[in-house]
Amino acid sequence: MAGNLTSFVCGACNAPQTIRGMGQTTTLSCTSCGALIDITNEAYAIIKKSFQQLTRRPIIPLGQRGKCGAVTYEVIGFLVRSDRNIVCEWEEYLLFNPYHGFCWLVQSEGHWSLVRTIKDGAELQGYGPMPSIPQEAKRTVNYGGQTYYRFLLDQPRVRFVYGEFYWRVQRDDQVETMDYISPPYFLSLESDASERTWALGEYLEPKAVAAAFSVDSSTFPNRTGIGMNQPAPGAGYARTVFGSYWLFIALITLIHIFVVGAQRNETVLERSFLLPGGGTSAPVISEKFDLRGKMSNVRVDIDAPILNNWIEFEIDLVNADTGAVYPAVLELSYYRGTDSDGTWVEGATQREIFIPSVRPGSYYLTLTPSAGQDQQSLAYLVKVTFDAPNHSNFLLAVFLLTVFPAYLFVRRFLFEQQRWQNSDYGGY
Amino acid sequence: MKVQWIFLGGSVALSCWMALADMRGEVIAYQLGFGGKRYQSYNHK
Repeated sequence: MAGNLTSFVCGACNAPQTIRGMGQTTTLSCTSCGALIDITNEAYAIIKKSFQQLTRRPIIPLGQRGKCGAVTYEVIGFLVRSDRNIVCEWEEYLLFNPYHGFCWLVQSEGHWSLVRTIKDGAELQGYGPMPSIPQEAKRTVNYGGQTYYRFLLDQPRVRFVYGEFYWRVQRDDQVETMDYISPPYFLSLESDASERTWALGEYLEPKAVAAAFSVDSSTFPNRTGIGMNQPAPGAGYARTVFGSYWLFIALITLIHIFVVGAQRNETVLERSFLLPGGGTSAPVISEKFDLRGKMSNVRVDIDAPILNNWIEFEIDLVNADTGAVYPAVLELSYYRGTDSDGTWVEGATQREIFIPSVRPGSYYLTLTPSAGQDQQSLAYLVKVTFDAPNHSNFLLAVFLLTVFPAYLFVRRFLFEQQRWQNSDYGGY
Repeated sequence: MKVQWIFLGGSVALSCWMALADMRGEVIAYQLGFGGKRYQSYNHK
């Protein structure tokens, strides 16, 4: 590339200028005085003198080379554009490679994109041959197998020109653009009175741009807000996480159904005991019962017809042969009354508790009840079930499995919501 | 990329943990300290 540079002197200020576009560029804005020069022939005629103040300098200097993918490009032009209301400005660097032509590096509020004109853009459906962009542009367009969503309609205006360009660009030139996004890509339809072109942009991390063009990234503007085509958090793995989430939910559901279906759910004891009045009782001991099969849980159900009182049971499941004790505590409370809102009820007279990982064998149950002192004598029913279905493991697994996908979903949702606040086409 | 492998690995481990716990009659919530009192068996002989 370096061997084909052409130099000349600006006719307005006599500053030396370098042409890097190898015959493919038509105008040059003097890097010293800003005059616009025709470089299509060696006369280097001045098109316009002093048509702008040189108030802006590119962060990546003209002549700097950098690799975009496998191709080395050279920065040959720099222009600043603003939106139709001149509220927001962005920078566009024209890159050139003699074999691959032109492309653009666009920086807007610290967000960078590499943009290339696409030749087959005319095939994008929904746009006829007329050059102007319909106000009611299509909501989506498809390109390269991806769907792009309508995002911005604008009439950007050129605010500043510096270096070479392949068309006669001037300050205040205005076009109409329609941007569609499918992060990290966007499609931009640019239209003026004479032509319409489609361009495809891809989001670049600022550090990657700085590394590619050997520029100190600390000179780059900080990223502000959400870039139009900035990838949402987890863009590289969200699809895998969400897809595998449902697979794992299905898997653990199947496992749980299978395990519950294979459980014995055997009632091994069902009898009532008497609690004398006064609230406390000596421990009562049940008859022996056998737990057969493999190690599993024991569910103890107690039904005590209390009213406006509480009762607590210290339960010991004791292996009659080994003396192994599996302790548990079960509390019941049941209160009922009426107030200005009507009847209210709190608590229950029946509850169950699981004793986990009980080995098979011969067992008996020791129950030590205690209740409020005003408790009348009552009979309570105890039921013991071996290898009973318990859904708490399944529910806990579903919860734990859901935590990260839910977090990712919410994060991405908020991100997209913020992105679409900048759109002309509303909510997300 | 690491994140998705951590998620996949964690999900496999969680599924196996739940399957084993279900088959052994364990209650993971108790092991994690949820569900009120601690249910630790002992031998009084």
